Amino acid sequence: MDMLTQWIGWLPNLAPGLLVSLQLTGLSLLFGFPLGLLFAVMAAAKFPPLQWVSFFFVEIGRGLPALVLLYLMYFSLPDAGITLTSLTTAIIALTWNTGAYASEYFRAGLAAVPLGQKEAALTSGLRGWTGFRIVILPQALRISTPPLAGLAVLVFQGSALAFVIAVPELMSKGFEIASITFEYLSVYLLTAVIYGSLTLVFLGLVRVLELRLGRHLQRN
Amino acid sequence: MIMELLPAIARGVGLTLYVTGASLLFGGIIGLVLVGAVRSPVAIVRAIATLYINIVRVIPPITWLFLIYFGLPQYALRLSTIQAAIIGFSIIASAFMAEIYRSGLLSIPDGQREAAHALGLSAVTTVGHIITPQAFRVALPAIATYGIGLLKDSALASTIGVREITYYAQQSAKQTHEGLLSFIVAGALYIVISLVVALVSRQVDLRLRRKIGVA
Amino acid sequence: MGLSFGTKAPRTTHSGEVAVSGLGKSYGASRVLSDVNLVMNEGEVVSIIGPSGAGKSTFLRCLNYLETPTEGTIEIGGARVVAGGKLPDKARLDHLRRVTGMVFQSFNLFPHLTVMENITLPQRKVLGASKEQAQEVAEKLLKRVGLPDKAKAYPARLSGGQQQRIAIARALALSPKVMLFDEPTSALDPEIGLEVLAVMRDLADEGMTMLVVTHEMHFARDVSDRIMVMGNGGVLEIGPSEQVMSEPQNDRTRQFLKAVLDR
Repeated sequence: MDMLTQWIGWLPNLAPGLLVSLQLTGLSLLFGFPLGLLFAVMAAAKFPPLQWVSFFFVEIGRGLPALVLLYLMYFSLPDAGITLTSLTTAIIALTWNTGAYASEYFRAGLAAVPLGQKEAALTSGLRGWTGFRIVILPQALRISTPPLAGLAVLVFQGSALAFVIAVPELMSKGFEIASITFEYLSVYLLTAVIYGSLTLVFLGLVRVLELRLGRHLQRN
Repeated sequence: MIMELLPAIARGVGLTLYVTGASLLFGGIIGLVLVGAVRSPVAIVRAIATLYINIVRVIPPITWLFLIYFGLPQYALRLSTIQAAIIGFSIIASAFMAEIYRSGLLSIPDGQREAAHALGLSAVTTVGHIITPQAFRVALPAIATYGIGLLKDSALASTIGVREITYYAQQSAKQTHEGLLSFIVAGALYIVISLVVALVSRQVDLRLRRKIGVA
Repeated sequence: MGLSFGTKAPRTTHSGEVAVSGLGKSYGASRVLSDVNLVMNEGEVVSIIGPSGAGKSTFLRCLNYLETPTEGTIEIGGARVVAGGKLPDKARLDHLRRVTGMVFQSFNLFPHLTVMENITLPQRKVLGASKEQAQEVAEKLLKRVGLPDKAKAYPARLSGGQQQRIAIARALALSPKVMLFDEPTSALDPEIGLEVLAVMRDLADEGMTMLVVTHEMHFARDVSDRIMVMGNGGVLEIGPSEQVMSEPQNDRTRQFLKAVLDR
């Protein structure tokens, strides 16, 4: 059978999987980015225990393979009496992973805000949290945005890992079809094409975002 | 319990290192060819190399592994799990290594090529004795960082049945019902290996930096 | 000279002689160098001075084809190259680079090689010298530039002045007929520059043919036989050093010298 007709026949079965992949990616980013910002702020805190907690979660989240993090959640949460769906488990693992990497970009962004800005905030009476929120954070976020957008693309690719704990996402759906039809090459080529083309679309959006941010900076 | 889990899971360290090391080596060699192709004066060669690098990078690693391990045997190319993993990760590593080499090459000042030309050194001598050694030394930290990334990616090889760290951790988790401990042990092994690689490369880098002071 | 180029390259110059005529270079519509003529005798030292952007370095770099001239001819040490906007054939290019040695403003020593290797590698690769021969030559040259104890050091460990002296030794190791210096002291503190200038002065005294782009007016006047003043990509005037410095013929030369010497 012609590969293209095969592919068209499979698409209806793969589409729900793709939706789950996107859902997994979207939620992991939605929770992961704020978590990363929290880790970054904690790392800069004056209270050492906060720094230690941040260090611990960031180093584990980055130092462990995402797959191991996923298995760690999958095998240990039920033992602790917590029963979650495999999708929720995957969201937690990917959120941790995302948060750990994102915190590095947030930290770099915060560090790149010139000291003069902090001093200006203080001398204008914007102390503590208010000064941080109004003066420092917006500038830091602008610096961190391009690498964070790049990270988002990687998280989408990483969502394929959820296959191993049977989350019904794109890779799992592909595996299902392949085990029924034995058309391994064709099925995985199709999933590769889907992942690849969506990644390209995302990368294109990242590029547009970078250009817009750059333009904004130039106008200043 | 850890005393029983550790030796059981550490059995996988050998294959983890083997798959990672072999893929980094082959990927590094293919990456050299790629970076040459990307800088080739022939437009079609440049286009093919760039296309290859982009295709490799936009497809998730696990999809690559499945394509190679499950897909290729359909065309009578039977591979062992280890071969499939090494081929898959070599392909992935080649694209990243090519990028790392490229930025290494870009960091070498024009004056180095000019001095080589002015001395009358041949193109082969210039590339072999002047450019490549310097580019490699500049790229060393990036290569080490990528190597650690590849080490973590190599956990994926367990999904096609390569008996490396994650594979044994999964086995232990199922057999002993000590899921948390099993993967803590596995995680600790990855972190220890990463730390050793990071420390060694830092030392080498510092030594080279002190000695030759490449920017 | 054992090199042969058939009938295409008549030997019109002697080994240390330079004859450049009508040399020019354009990038599309913009002309960066036009109609430069220069004849140098063996053992002569010529300094090239002029404001920045005058085309001094471009001219020097055209002589060994680090930049490609678009018109004119270059004859150095027995080889004649007619410029045409592209690299000459390999034999001529190799010969041109064999008979010229170049010293750069930024030294351009190879940072991953020791001082000894910096000097021996080109000898072994270009001249086919044995390791022992190359080392013997290198040791002599290191003595000559006053750094006999630095053979094992890496360039990063040396001062700028020391690096530049090593760079001179590296160029000399290939026994060039003509040495080209491209602002050799501009990247150095003045007092450090003096040690480099001293080496260059010795070299001139020993009879080396030298072409020096420089901002050092004392060196230009005291060491060089003639001074060539450049401006806007062309030659403003050329003449005996004393004469150019004390009674320049060209208005723009006068302005330039006044500006430099008043500083």
